[in-house]
Amino acid sequence: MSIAIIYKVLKGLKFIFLYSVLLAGLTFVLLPVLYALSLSFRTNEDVMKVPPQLLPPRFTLVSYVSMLDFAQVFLYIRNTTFVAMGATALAVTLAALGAYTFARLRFRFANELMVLLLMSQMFPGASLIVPLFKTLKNLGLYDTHAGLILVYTGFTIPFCTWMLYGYFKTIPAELEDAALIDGCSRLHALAKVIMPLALPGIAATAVFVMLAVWNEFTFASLFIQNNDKWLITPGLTTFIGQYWSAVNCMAAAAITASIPPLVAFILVRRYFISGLVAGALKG
Amino acid sequence: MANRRGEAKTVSVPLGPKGERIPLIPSGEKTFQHENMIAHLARVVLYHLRSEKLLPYALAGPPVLMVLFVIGYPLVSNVWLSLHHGHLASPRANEWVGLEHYLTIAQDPQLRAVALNSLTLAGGTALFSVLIGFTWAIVLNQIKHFKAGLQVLVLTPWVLSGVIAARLWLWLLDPILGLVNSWLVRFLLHPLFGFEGNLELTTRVQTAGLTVITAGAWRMSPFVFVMILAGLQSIPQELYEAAMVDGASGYQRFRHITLPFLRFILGIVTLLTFVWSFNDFSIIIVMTKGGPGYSTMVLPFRVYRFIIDGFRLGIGSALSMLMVLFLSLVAVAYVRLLRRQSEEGSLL
Repeated sequence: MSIAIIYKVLKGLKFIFLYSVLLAGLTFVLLPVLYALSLSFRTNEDVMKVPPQLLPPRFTLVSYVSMLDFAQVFLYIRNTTFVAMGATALAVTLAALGAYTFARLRFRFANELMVLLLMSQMFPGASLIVPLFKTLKNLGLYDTHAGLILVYTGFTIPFCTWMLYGYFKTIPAELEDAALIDGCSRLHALAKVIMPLALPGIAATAVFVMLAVWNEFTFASLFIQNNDKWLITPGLTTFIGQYWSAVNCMAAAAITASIPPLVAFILVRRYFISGLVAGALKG
Repeated sequence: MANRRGEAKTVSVPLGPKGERIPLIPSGEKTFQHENMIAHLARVVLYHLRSEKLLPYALAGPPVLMVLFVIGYPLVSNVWLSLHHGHLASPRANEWVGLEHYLTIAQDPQLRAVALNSLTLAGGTALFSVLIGFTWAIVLNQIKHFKAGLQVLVLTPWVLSGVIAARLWLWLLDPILGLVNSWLVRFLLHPLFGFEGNLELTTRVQTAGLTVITAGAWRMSPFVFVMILAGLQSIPQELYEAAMVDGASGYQRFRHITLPFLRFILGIVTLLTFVWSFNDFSIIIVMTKGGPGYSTMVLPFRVYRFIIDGFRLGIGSALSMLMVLFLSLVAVAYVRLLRRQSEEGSLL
């Protein structure tokens, strides 16, 4: 047998090996999602079949209709979209301003503030619940979307600042200097020169914030009381009862709730990766 | 006209066509006169704003203030609470107790076990999520086809909410109705070990922690994947080509080019996933509620129990202060890593 044939066989084996490992890995990654999809396409009786199967015995779209009997899923999704977009816009804007300051302008407390900002990422949410609750109540922001937006903004700004700081550092300072020499003020240079270049980084950061806010549970469940204002994450718990859970409806609602962030993610995917390539490196 | 000290300075006075003096200062405008203090102040402020001395504070002020408001003030409030009695159901709630709560915590063996649980579960989650994410990044960097689709698929766990993911894993690992259990028994345990019956995972002390780690790693791996993929894509290809020309094997290329470039980003994502899984108890509260006995009870969950179930704000705040103290040490390591990274650039 010639070496060429052996080589080709080994290459083929490597190919098969790689792709079967890939398949196994994908199964692990997708298993809960596939299971949720499978549950959502069943009727309630088929959910509890023994032995359990991945494919639904009878394919039906019933649960997507009957999930509305338990919870106003689309209302909750609308609320969550509102809060998520508000928090994303606010957090990314403020973080961009802050990151620009740390990356370009030199001032007295720059180092200390950076460290403070980074360390504030590390605090457990559980211990901050009661003081935040009191603060929101005092400000009259309890049970409002605005209060929740403020809380989420405050929590995500440190991480966004870190990411955008890394990203701004990769934009050469000469571009700004050129603009400044041509007569721009700093703010003008920031808006017209830096921001367009920073769009990938900003898209990446916005996706982070949006996903974090969309999936957040603790504050959403504790700070909103009115049923009409509820977000989707605590809203999904209405499907879980003490003795009985509408599993198929909950799966349907969870899948429906995952579509907006997935769509947003697919739209900005390319910018997301390239935004991270620059931002993740320089820290 | 020379301008020597002590000598009166002569200025030629401009004269108009009719010989009248043309005023140097247009009439109506004053310079530093007391009668126009407001204009003076306004001019000073605008001068400083335009000269960009205040600009950093104006720009960085709002984000810092937001963070102070949402995190800083509750932190201070926590410190205050931890030094007082704080049990809302008791009349002694506002009484100063000093470091009594801290002493109680330090002497409680159960809380020591809980702290150990926190460390092991968070450490395990961080380790596995980094392993999984790292593997995915390497694999997806090599693959030529279906890149976009695979990237979206690998990032799916991130899109699901934490509690939903935990509940799905709980159902998947159910002894009777769980898919994973039935597959494990049918394809692995029965043929190999003759195992019969139902496999219990979340309710057994030995494996409950593993189930929590699995669900946690599953959730965190997309973040690691994305960061490391970004890191991999920034390694200049010429290095690999040069190494191949010099005859380096795949393994050698990996060890001497890829890994050193990824050192910093690996350190950062490990730290971040550790801190995030340390602080997050949503998976545990859904899957094991503290585990069989106390085997999966973690510190943040304990704080939650103290505060929400027992209304014991004092000791809850003290425990969270200790958590913050520990995490601050971790944060110091994190900041040092970032500093070293920015000093050395992203190169070796």
